[in-house]
Amino acid sequence: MNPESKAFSAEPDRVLGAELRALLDRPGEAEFVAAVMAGAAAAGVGSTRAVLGRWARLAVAGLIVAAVGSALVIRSTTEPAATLDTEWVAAATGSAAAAALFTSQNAPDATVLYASVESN
Amino acid sequence: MSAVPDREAAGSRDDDEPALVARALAGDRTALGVLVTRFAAPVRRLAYAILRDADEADDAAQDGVLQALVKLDRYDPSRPFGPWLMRIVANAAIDRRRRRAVRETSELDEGLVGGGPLPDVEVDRLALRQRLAMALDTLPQRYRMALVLFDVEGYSQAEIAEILGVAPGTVRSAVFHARRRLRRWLEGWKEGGGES
Repeated sequence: MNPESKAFSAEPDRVLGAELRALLDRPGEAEFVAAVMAGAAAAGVGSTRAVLGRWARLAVAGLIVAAVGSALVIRSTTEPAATLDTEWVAAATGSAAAAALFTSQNAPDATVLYASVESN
Repeated sequence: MSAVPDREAAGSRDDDEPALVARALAGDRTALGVLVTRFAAPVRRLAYAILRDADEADDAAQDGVLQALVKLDRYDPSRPFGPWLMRIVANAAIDRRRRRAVRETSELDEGLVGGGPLPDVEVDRLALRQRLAMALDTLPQRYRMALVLFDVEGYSQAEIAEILGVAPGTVRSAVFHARRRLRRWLEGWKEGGGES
């Protein structure tokens, strides 16, 4: 081994590496593997339950995304349906414009407001 | 004893690791066993290099591998599996070392590190190994980890940087300084007449 010449080398020092490996290697690898596999089994790694759980999480996440997406699409493409409130105000005032004005969930439209004033 | 870094000796099998992980996640116990067996020696060596206690090293390596297996679905298959696993194991060993009550001297005074010829002039390979073990013990933890990952396990500087969470330049510096310190220790052995 010539550590001096290898000090600046960007390549692995194979001789030093072999010595270090011999120093760090210990018996008991099979026992180690067995212990890890037993631990993994106890923790449910790769079990049917874990696999199903992962798929279930993915499915739930997908359903949530789909539901939110669908709600947004439906909300943007459909007109608001007439509600009981709208019908009641229309019946009480005799004005569809007033009903639209008072029952709207959005800020009043100036044209609707004007039409209401004009009709009265 | 092989003189080639572990990954090279293994014949560059990294390519099939994402597939093995996918199979393990799907419940294939054989694939899981292949992964654990393949990395058993490297993770044990790394943990031992960090902790320098065989029993604690095996416990830490086991903890680390189990942690990795439990969160195997978080592994990014577009990246190499080895550095991902080694980082988790390294962190497990470092945590264990931090918790260890026994105070350790991680770095000896430079004046002691230089050393002289060993008293026993009939040093053999065992003596070299003992000397190397002593030298390794004197290295700061990061130097030890970088040296083992580079010279023993054959990871690239970029991969080691990922494992240790440092810049590649820091890895290069750590390997350089680790080798230089080992050289100082081993010079004493060589001057004493030992040679492999």
